[in-house]
Amino acid sequence: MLRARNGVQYVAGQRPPRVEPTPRELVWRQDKVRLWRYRSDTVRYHPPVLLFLGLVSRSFVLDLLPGNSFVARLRDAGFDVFLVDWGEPDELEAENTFETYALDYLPRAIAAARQEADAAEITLLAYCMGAMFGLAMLASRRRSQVRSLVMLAPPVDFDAMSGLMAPLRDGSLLPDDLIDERGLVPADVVRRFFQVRKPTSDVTQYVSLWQNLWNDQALEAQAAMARWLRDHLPFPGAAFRQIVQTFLRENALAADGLRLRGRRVSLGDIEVPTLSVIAERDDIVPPAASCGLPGLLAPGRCQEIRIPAGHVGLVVGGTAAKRTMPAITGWLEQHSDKGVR
Amino acid sequence: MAAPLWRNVYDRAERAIGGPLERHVETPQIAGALATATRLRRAAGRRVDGMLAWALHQAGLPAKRDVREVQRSLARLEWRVREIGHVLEDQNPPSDDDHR
Repeated sequence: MLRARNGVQYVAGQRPPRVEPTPRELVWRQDKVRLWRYRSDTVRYHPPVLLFLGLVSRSFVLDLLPGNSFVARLRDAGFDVFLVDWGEPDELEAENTFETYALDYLPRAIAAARQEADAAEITLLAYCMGAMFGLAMLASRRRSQVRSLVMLAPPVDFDAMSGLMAPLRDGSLLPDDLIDERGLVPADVVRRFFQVRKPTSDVTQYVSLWQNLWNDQALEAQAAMARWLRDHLPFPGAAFRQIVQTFLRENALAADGLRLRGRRVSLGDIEVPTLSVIAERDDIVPPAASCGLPGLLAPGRCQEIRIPAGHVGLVVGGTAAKRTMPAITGWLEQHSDKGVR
Repeated sequence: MAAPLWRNVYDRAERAIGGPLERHVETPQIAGALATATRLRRAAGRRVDGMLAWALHQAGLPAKRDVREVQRSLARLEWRVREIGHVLEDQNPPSDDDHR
């Protein structure tokens, strides 16, 4: 009976998961970009930490559910947490380039967070493609007011990425074949890319749903995860063309040949300490795509740790709570000042 | 809580089937087939759109693609205005960031 009731409610969408449960406050916005602050009365470390992702997933994945929120865990560890949400692109963002995010919006979000927290510096924490923005911004700037950079599953060596990208790499599939009349790669194309790599994932989701129908909490977790896996963002066409050419075909990060707005930048110029967190079972950003990063940065600038998790398990679930968070907060504590400024 | 027996059976079966499928999906042949299917679907969509647009134009009506083109043009214009705003903002930056 309970299964039937929960099943009907799930299918009818009457019980959407309570994603983004952590109280937050909008402190800055520009165009569609939003900066959120997760206020806390128990801040013990300084500077504040600014979180951001890339352009594929929605920002709720870092604040997934009560008791399973990366943001809340970081806040509860004593950090003043900010989160950048890049927003959902439409025609207005079709011409946005990689630099629009890495060199325009990100530095402005940093400035806004510093101003809001009255902080001289800030720590960056970037997940997946967000790490590319963080690296590009730091490589192109002096005095960026960034204390340190933490990267979760940073994609650096695109030769090690999925074989499904081969047609885009060798030119048998052109970026414009995937860009629609709005100038965007539709969210559905992004979702199908991930779905085709796990052909049994839909069946497995239904099996898990059946298993959890009697358990309200597990059902909500299931619904939240299903939303993460299905609810992708459209990708700005100009940035997509650039990523295919610069990162996938030229492998510019790994080859140390990155040019931003016509100027060459080198990861070797990054002056702040960095932490690269690699998920050992990651099939989206395989460890091989991240592990060359310390060699591209100046000696001693990058520490690398490996977590026995997949791409998603790096930030949500038991492994994230027991392994990822202690590793990150331990490193952050070493690279932060104790006490509120 | 331990998973029920049926779930363990499913997981083993899923890995027995899913594992080889996932490895196969990553091969150049499958990637090439998916790329071809994507291009064909797009070409077919363009052809249908073109025929519909022709029919609407015969009746003196705008087609969806005409409306889209106007929307894109307006969006490009607004994007340029945004970019100019960004440049102006950079001339009076809120922080003392320096470009190399």
